[in-house]
Amino acid sequence: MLSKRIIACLDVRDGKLVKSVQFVDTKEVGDPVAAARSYYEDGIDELVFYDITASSDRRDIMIDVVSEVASQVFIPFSVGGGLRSVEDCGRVLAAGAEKVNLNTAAVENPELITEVSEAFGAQAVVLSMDVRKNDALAVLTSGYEIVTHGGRKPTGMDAVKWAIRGEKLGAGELVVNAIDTDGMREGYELILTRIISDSVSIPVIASGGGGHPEHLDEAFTLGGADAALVASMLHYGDYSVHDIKSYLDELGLPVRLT
Amino acid sequence: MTARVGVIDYGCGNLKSVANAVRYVGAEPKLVTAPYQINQHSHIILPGVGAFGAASETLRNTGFEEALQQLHAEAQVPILGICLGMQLMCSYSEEGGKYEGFGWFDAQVIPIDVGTSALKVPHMGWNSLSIQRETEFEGLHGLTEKSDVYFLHSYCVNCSDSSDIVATTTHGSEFTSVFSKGIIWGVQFHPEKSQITGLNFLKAFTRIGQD
Repeated sequence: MLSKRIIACLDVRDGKLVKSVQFVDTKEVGDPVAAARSYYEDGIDELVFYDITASSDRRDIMIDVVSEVASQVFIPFSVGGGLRSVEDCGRVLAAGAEKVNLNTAAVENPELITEVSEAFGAQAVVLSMDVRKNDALAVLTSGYEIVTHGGRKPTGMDAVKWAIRGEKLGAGELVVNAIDTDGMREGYELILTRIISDSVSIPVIASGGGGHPEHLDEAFTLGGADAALVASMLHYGDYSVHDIKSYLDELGLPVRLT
Repeated sequence: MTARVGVIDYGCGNLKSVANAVRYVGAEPKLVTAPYQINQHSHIILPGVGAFGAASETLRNTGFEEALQQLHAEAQVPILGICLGMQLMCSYSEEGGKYEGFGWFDAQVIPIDVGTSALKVPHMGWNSLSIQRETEFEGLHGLTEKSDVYFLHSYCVNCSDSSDIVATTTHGSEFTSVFSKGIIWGVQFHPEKSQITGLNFLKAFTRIGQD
């Protein structure tokens, strides 16, 4: 039986691991390669690195991080942040990443999803969507809006429609990142996760808000997610990967035990 | 003696993770970029992602298939097919039409059948192995019913000769996830992405004939 995946999310700026609260307040919390290695040994199923480096001329640091991770960590991992072209994606894949995460660049240029999917296969393309609740705009039939630029910029695009379109354009997976719950550690946005996982046939990854192992149970059972991203609850040492998996295993959820 | 592992590079995607994993388990990986280089190795790995038809055509046109067939006929060098590499060892594939494989295993490559379940295709993620038989090599070392391995595929192998099957996996329906015939091995999962279980398997494969 296919296991529910637990994915550790590592935000990287200028080659250093950072953690943000609601996308604004960022703190350095360590070395991304050492963190990746430690979660790997503790049994994480997958890793995702978001490069939040501001200046594009320092992006090569990320390629070095990717190569280093790929030589030490033998599980799938993806990279996102600042990928604006097929060439950008090709570089991180050639450095050893399994998949790329497209976010703002895909909103601005949806064709990019198709181009990257055709070049490297749909399995290599993860569409990462930053979503905020917005009941005020009638055009947002789901009540959820796609936002970009780390949550600062509203787009007027309905989150569910964008998810469906992303799948059609060639995305192989979706990360549904709820800005309202991100970093709050009070649980995932379950309604949002559920309506999106009911609307697409590709795997959906819940993101934003995981603070306790029971939140992952909720994301899988109530949210219908195939995988869940975790960040704070691991980075600050509150729980180990093993703790989370043991909890889920006892509830009878399919998880990979190591 | 250190195993010299040739990884066939026919433009089928990123081979870096396979090479990294081979190096990690103490063998020496080398990308094989032309058919004439195929005889310079103690072991061969045939990786692969993408579509069966395009891959088999490329292997045929570049002369790799002929070189691999020759190597297979000589039966001296262990060969491991990973994912699409395993599928290429079969009789034929139904992916995007009907394409002939190498014919080393009496097996067909068919779409994963999840029936009316809500299961998703591609079959992506960690799943378990159901071990069907012991093998004469240590190749099974590390492959147990308890340890999950990483899969990513939409088509799967259906063996006609059940004695070839080493392990099966179920995603909607049961398919062959590991097969072997002597020193020829195929795995549907990605050992280079399957943490310690995958690394132990690769280590065992690169040790065939080394002791």
